[in-house]
Amino acid sequence: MMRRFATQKAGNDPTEYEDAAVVGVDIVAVADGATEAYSSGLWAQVLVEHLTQLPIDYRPDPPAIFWRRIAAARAVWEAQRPDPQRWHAKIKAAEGSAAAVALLVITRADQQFQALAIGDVIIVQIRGGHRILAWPLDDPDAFGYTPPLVRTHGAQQPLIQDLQGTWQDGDRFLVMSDALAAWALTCERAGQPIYETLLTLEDELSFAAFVTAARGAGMKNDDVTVVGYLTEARVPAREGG
Amino acid sequence: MAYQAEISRQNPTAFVFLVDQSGSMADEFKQEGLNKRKCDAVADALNRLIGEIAIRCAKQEAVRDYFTLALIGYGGTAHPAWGGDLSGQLAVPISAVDAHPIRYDQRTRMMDDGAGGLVPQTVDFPVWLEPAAASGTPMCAALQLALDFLTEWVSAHPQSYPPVVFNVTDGESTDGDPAALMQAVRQLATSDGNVILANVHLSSLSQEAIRYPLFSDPLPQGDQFAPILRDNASALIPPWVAPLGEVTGRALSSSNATFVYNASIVELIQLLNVGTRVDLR
Repeated sequence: MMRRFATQKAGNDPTEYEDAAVVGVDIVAVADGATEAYSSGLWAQVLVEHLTQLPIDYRPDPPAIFWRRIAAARAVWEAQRPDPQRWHAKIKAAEGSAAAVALLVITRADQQFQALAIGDVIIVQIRGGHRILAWPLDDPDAFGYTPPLVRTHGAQQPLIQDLQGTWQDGDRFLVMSDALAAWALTCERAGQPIYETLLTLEDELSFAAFVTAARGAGMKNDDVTVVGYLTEARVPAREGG
Repeated sequence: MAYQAEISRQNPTAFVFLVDQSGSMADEFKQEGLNKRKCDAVADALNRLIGEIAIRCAKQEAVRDYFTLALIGYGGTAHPAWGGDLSGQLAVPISAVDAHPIRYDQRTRMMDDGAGGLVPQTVDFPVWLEPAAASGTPMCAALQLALDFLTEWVSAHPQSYPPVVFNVTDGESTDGDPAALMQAVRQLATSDGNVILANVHLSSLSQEAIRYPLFSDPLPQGDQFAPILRDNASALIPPWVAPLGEVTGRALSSSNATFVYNASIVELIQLLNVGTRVDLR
């Protein structure tokens, strides 16, 4: 079961939202477009769409498969981005776009998961009410203004973070863009974890109320995206008819 | 904690540039590899900086008003220094700055070649400030203009990231002691902290710069004006300590003054870059 909620920065128009998320069967990708980059909302969207294309098995060679898909995504971004007219748009378009991204692929057959990330979109694993994983960052102070980013341009890309793990029936995952991720880790450090709240959000209204309260309490004003994923046991094979 | 306020279109901040345009700014920088009048080099650096600020505020074709920029020249008189359509205006939102350069020059910019390298490309380079150098150095009058503008600004934007004032000069004030006006500027505050005053003293000679000295450090004998600029500059604010420490290769702290003495154009640009580099929403 998956739930996805998203909202733009307070004071911004919804069209200015520059995160993106794709939630497929057993796969989640969340990207956070860099504010100052050219057409970064489009890049975030193209990125998550390419990373979640079938087949979703990254295990044979996670980084290689990831970068092959990025190469295809770059071509699509270049073809779809608006044609720049003004002097500054021409410079920014030539410099390209950038986004942080995290990808979670669940494998039911052997109860494993594959995670890939660049930057400060994070994946959290909850078991029995306790966080057992926050990745690739687990320290709220580690969220800076210059995370590594996947870029549309340039041959030098940051090192991809690559993690394989296991899950048990009933484990739950959250994939969150940076402002919420940092806030969730801050709350946890203060002894008031909010993972359960995030996993049980009922609807857009309750999400909006949560975000407003969190921003009021100190969460950075940024686009917010969160996907919750509840693992379910593999369906047992039936015996006989 | 101060200097943490979000900068957004709803909560913009301001940068104020006070530019010495007195006669001595026509002297050439005699530093290695540079044969340019000081006024040309400063105008070039500020045009480039303003362009970079506009680029950072640009979203597709539009430029978002995260900043208002005030440009004040002082040479003979203190006056708004924007040229072209903006002549006579003191402070201008960055979107209007972007829309009204005096002209576009052609410059070479190193751009990504897609294969890990950089290639030179010709790009438009907007020009807003023309170099000028004439007459005396009415720094007090310039500070008064800045003070009047900033008083209004902090009243209208009480929650904003505090405005930053860059005062770039190569000489001594010729219309009085500017210390009281500098203090008055620094005493203005928003809820996020006091207005920041950075004083940069330019030297046309190849002398070693004194960068961000302690307020207690000795300064060169014989220059009566250096202590005024140093003592009345702001202490380094926390967000600038690490990046300025990196460019100077020294451990700095909030005990250091936001002041450079005998600065080259490179040191001016370093400070301008750090001082205008803030996180946008």
